[in-house]
Amino acid sequence: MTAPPLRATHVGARQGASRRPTPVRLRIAAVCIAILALVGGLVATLAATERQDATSAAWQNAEPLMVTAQAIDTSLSDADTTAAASFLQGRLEPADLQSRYETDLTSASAAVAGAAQEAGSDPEVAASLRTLSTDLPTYAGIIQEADFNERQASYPLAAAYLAEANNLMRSSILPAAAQVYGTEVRLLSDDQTQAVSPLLAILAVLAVIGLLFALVLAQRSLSRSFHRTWNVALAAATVIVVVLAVWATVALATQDSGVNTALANGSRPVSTFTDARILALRARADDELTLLTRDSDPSYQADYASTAVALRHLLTTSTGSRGSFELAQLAQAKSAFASYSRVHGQIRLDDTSGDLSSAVVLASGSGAGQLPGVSAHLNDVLSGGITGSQATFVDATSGAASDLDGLVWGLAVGAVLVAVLVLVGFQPRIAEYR
Amino acid sequence: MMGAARPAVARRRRGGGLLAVGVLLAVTLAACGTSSPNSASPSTSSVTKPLDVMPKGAEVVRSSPPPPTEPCNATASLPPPATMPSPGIMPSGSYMAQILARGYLKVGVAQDTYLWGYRDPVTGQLTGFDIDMLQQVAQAIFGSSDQKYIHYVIVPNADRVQAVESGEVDIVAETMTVNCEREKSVDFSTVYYEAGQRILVPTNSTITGPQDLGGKRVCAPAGSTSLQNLVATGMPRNIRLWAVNDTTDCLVMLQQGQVDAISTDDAILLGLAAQDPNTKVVGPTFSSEPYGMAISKAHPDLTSFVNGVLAQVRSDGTWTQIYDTWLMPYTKTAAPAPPAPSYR
Repeated sequence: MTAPPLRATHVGARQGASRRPTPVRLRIAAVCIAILALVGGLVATLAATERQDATSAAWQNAEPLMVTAQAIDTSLSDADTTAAASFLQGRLEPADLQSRYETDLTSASAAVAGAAQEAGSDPEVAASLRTLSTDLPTYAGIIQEADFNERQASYPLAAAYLAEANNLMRSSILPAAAQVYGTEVRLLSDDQTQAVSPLLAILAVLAVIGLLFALVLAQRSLSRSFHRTWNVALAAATVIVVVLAVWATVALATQDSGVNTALANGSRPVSTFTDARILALRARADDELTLLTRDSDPSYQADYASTAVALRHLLTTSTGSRGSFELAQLAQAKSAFASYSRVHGQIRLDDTSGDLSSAVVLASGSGAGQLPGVSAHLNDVLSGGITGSQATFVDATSGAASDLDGLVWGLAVGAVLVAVLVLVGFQPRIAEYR
Repeated sequence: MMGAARPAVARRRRGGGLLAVGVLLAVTLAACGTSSPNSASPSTSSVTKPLDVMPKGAEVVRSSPPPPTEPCNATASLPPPATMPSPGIMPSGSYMAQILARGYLKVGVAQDTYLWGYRDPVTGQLTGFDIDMLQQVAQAIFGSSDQKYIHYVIVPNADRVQAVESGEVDIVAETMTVNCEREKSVDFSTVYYEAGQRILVPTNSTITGPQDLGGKRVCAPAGSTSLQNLVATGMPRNIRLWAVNDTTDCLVMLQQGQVDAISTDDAILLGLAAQDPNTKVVGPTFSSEPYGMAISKAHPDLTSFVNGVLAQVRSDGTWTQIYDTWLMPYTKTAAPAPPAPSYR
């Protein structure tokens, strides 16, 4: 690159002013160093932009999509549990549960429609969203059929339709929702952890080292050849390059820690709490459906057992790097689930010992210490965990994205400035030949 | 929603970064080319797949005819005690005395067989013909019809014999046919209802009896004798059998147009027809399904006692009253004579 002419001037300088570099060589050196500055600046700016885009994409595209997918998943689980709960309660207080079921289903449908527009081109997600958009009206239709039969006091037929709807939910709808959610989580984590491509990073570092080397050599050579101590423009260019290099290093490191914070205290706990909430809702649906349809289907309690194990595992497994908010929320969730398990145990005891009425009252009553209450508490704690972790995520990631705002422009403007200073610095020496 | 608003911001921010690069590119290469990021707009063609949602566990099955059973007289039960003990005072040492001491009778019932054993959505209580019969037994032991003297356990059809054998419940009354096979494991009370297999179809169906079932899709509970009877000699050869976990699931499938007919005990079909006015029970009865209460062989005194209760229920008009409550609104015929008891 620039080494041969500089080496020539270096040798020339040692032998005195009579062997000064020719103006052509000086011009070539100046232009080469200026181009190096511009190319280096371009590469560094590209690298910073790439990093910033990935981070921005994480919180502005992927994260909302994940939130949408999470909303679909939890709304649907809640709808299914609520439908079963309202049947278990009979016709005594269906109004609030009815409206909650409708809200759940409406928001899930809206979220599916929204996700279909935003989700982009992932074929699996598109297929799952199609499944959701065809199955959801069918599900609602079956529930409506159940509802109609319950109004006719045809309880067994209502329960049969409810079981069919639940089966559709569990065998087709929830797996599709989980697929969408899982993909969005993966895309988000990809965006978050996407590093600057190695080629750009290496080029940027090489360009900076080469540029500094060239600037120092040029100044030494010029000062010896022309007996000037300082070339102000070249010195300023050198300082700017050093400042930019330090700035970029610090900004990228800060940004990296911001992204790590977002991962550790944001998106990872969001998944944990979301998964836990879905499991908690599933456990309650198992308890309700056991009482509603157990005569024909004892599999709900088997499902409860595995769901409870998964939930307990999720709430107690420590990965070591949990934030204080997450830990506090997890502790609350653990004790809430312990309360739930106690009520569950009492319901099972009542049911199997032949006291079905007590079991039904315990599973559907609105009093303290009855299933709907303890389940709602658990649900609230887990929702709180989701909301809190999401806020942490958005704060940390948006901060991380804006960390690089100034740097991108600083690198661009700085590179131009360095190039101009190099040309300005060489100009008087070239002019001496005229 | 939040998700809808943010991508626009993202595009602007992305544009900012690219602009900086673009400015630099322009200076370096004197070439200006900022490509604006375009989010791929999905051209989703929503293909609607035909949905055929069915009750869980519904499947096409092949069945074999009922096995030839060695002749037995399963419907002949133990004779009632010479004198029935007074309610609240059970003979010491008897199993009824144990039940009295325990404070409640444990019974196994269905909760989804309309008119026979089901949960009333208004009261939340189990109710039906079978439940009423069991309450007669509880009343005879405790002298009160208070619900606290009777504990209901929901027993799946397939577990009825086992629930009695294991002592989980004292009595099962769950549209349970008395037959020789079951009689090997449990005792039965005298017959309290004579059922038989018939066919339920939509009111506009052309099916009028078993002879019309050829090539039709017919639903029956999995593992039931109803399935076996449908392939017995004399039935059309090519019936397409659908088995479900629960008889009510058959009605779901009939309403969804997935089967053409349901065939099982007329007592149960009556309950299905009661839940859907657009159906009717057709054809002759083509099997005999005498219902009895199952009681452990370890407690012959209880079987004997229950037979005493049933004898009273038959003679004092209670049986007719229970029939009128549950079945007459749908059979539209006056109560027949109660099934005559047969004793060993």
